[in-house]
Amino acid sequence: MLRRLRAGLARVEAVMAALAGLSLVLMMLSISADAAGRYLFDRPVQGAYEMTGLYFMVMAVFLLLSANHAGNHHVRLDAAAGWLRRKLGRTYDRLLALAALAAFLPLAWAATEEGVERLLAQDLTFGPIAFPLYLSYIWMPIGVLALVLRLTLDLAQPPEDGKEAE
Amino acid sequence: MIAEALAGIGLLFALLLFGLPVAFALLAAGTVGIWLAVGSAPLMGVLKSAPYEHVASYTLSTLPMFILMAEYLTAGRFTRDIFNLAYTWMGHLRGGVSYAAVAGGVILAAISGSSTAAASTLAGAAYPEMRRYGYQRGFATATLAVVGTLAIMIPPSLGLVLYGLFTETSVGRLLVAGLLPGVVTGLGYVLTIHVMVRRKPDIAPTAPEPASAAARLSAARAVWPVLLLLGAMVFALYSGIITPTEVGAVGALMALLVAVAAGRCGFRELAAATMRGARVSAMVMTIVAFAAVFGVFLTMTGVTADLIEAIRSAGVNRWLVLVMVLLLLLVLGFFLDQLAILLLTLPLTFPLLTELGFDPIWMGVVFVKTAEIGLVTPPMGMNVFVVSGVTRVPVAEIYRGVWPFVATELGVLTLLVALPGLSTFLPGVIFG
Amino acid sequence: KELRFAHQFPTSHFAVKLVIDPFAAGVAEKTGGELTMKIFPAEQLAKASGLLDAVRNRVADVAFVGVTYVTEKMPLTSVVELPGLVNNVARGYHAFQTVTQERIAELEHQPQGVKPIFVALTPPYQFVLRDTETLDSVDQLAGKKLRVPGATGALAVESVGGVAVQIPSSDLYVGLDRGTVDGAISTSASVNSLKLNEVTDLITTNAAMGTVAFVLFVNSDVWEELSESQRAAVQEVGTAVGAKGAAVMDGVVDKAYKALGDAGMNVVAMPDPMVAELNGRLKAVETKWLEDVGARNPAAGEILKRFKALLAE
Ligand code: NA
Ligand code: NA
Repeated sequence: MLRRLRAGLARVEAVMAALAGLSLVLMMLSISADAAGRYLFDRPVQGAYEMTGLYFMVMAVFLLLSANHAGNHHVRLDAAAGWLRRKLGRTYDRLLALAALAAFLPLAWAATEEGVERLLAQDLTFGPIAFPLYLSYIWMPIGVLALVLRLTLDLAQPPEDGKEAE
Repeated sequence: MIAEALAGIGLLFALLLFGLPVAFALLAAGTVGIWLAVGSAPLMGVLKSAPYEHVASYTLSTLPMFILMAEYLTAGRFTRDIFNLAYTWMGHLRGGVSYAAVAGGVILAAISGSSTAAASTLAGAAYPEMRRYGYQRGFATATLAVVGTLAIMIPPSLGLVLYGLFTETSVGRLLVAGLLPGVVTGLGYVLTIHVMVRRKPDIAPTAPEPASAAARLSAARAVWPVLLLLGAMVFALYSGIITPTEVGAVGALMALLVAVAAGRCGFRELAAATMRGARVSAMVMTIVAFAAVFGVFLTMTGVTADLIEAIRSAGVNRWLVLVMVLLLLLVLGFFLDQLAILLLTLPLTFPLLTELGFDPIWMGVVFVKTAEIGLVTPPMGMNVFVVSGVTRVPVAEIYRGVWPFVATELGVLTLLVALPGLSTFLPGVIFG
Repeated sequence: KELRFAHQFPTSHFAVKLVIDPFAAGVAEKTGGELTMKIFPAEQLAKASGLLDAVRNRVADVAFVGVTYVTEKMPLTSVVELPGLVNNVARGYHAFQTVTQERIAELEHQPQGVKPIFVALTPPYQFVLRDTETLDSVDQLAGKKLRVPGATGALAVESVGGVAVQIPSSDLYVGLDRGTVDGAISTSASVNSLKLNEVTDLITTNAAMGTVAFVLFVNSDVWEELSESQRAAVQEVGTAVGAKGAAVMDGVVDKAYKALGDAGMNVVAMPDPMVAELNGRLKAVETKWLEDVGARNPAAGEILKRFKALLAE
């Protein structure tokens, strides 16, 4: 059961990571097109500014939150950690997951509430292009909820070598 | 509120030591701290918006774009060409490749306005090469983390621009003011490396013998695509075709196009490079997002405002006031990033010091330099985190290699404080 | 009782001396020290775009919120920003303050859980251009790349034939210096504070390219918790500070123009026929606003009409 949940979550994380990579590529292309359009044709790409700030940046950060944790890519100070793991073994991994969960549960609550509220409000920006704002606010709850699920699984059963395979 | 401030800071240090990821520790300590200081309703408000609004930013896009550019430069083997050039020409000198990294850092600093972006670019591009030539891990990564900070002194500089916006000081003058201090800093790094490799020769092995003239020539011929690329970026930036925020994205795209045109990588390599870039970008920006929560906590306790007020009312010599303010900035550098420090302290320290008759342009250089030193000092050193994230060398190992550079930085800072002319001479010549 | 008061301005900004500090000090004095404010300047508590959320969620109890950052949550309020309408701060203040208290507060602010106390307007956006000696015909603007501070500004610039460019304010000085853009729409005050006079040649005095407006909000729950006399004090001081700020603003503007002129800029008034033609073209933005905002809130037409009537008083 746990194993299947873990595999399912890993697949979801892979899709989210691919979306984050795609958002970086789109960011690169839209900023470049905006600059080129402005310089070569006096026609900047309207909306490149908003797309980058509202969508691509937010996706690039939060969609990788959980995958980066699974792959042990988040930066940490590991001087004392090595000693603690040798001393405490699996218990140390459980304590880590518990501490992280304690930090992310309030955030998951807040982010989800905000995301749902934005979704229901269906707000649009005013300007040459009307951007739907809820599409900016859904990525943080999605990323945080995936991480909370990942941490819960780690708490129930820490992964074999202290981290997931990449 | 002092008790809450100390509790939050203590909890942050404890969680960092315990081994929680830096971003998670900042979130946890900030959450607990805000809850203690003002209760749960404001806490939920901060959690709803602070992490989101600090990353939903067009200006911050320069960071992931520079990271992506480094990945594409590496995928196209362009950085290997540059370091091969450095090795064939200077490899028989001890530390030769490190000097090449400093030179690369200067070029990058002329393009990038963010030192964190520059450090990540250097780490992605230069670290594999330094390892190839047998450089010690701690020495190589520390060099790259520190050399990245040149980007904030040599124009363009995001730190100086933000200082200008906050204090209504001329951005043009500030940017020119950073040039000489940047050069002095760079020379300081060269000197530090020179001393370090003398004292411990095995951290930087030399080539068995000088390369042949033919090898040197062929290495020089191989670098023209990447020189053309960097030259085009510098030209596009300084002729006003693109803005400092856009240069990373345009550079990444050009690196990708040149790599593909030269037949140096295919779809598979590009996809892998993109995903590496995305992973590192997310890692860095996660810290930015959750550091925002901790920053709001510190702001709410008012502890920095109280300290600055204490300095103001102490009624001591103006140079002593300056030293105390700089010490405060250095200490804040232990747990905040550079921009957060400027944001938190400038509204209070700037009026205080201008009243005492200090020059605003010179202060900009000194402030930014001081906040910059915090980027490489433990326990919170953003540049060290970034280099660790890119190279996967443990943070502690980089910190061990960083100390000689920090000593140099403090020396350079003292020089900048003692000789205001270093900062004010050039703007005076250019703007009158 | 101490309230947390958040705003976006550096402490050296004129808005701080003009309205923010006087409001906090006035309330403290009026209530005999019962009600004080701890001020968090310079986006320390929340980004400019997050100040409304901050006061809604009680991160701050009081916040000075820029309308331009919250148009999606407060579309009716954004009527004040429409180009071609406000060309004078005193009149703009009167109209916006009145229509806010009359209608918008109940339609749009109450549902968000915030109570508006007073409003403030900066002088309307002007054209700031490099490589330009005079400006006397709309044709001169055709194809000029002008930096705009937001999406409403983009609509305004496009409707008068310019090319709207969005770059962050941290790139504006360098962008003007190197010719990435030919100019900007900006207020005289920010030209002064960003030292844009070092890199541009001309600023107009009589364009109405849109206004930057702020509303001082108090969180509704906080408002409920105040005593009757405290509320009266806040309202009274706020109204007085707002009115005084608006009254002296036109003098501040004159000073700013004088400083820019002394620094070597051409400070020019566009000829009347050109202003009339500009305002005629800017009607397109008003029409789009009525369509877009009207689709979401049927009160849009009524608010616009009332706002224009108040401006004409
Ligand atoms: Na730079
Ligand atoms: Na530090």
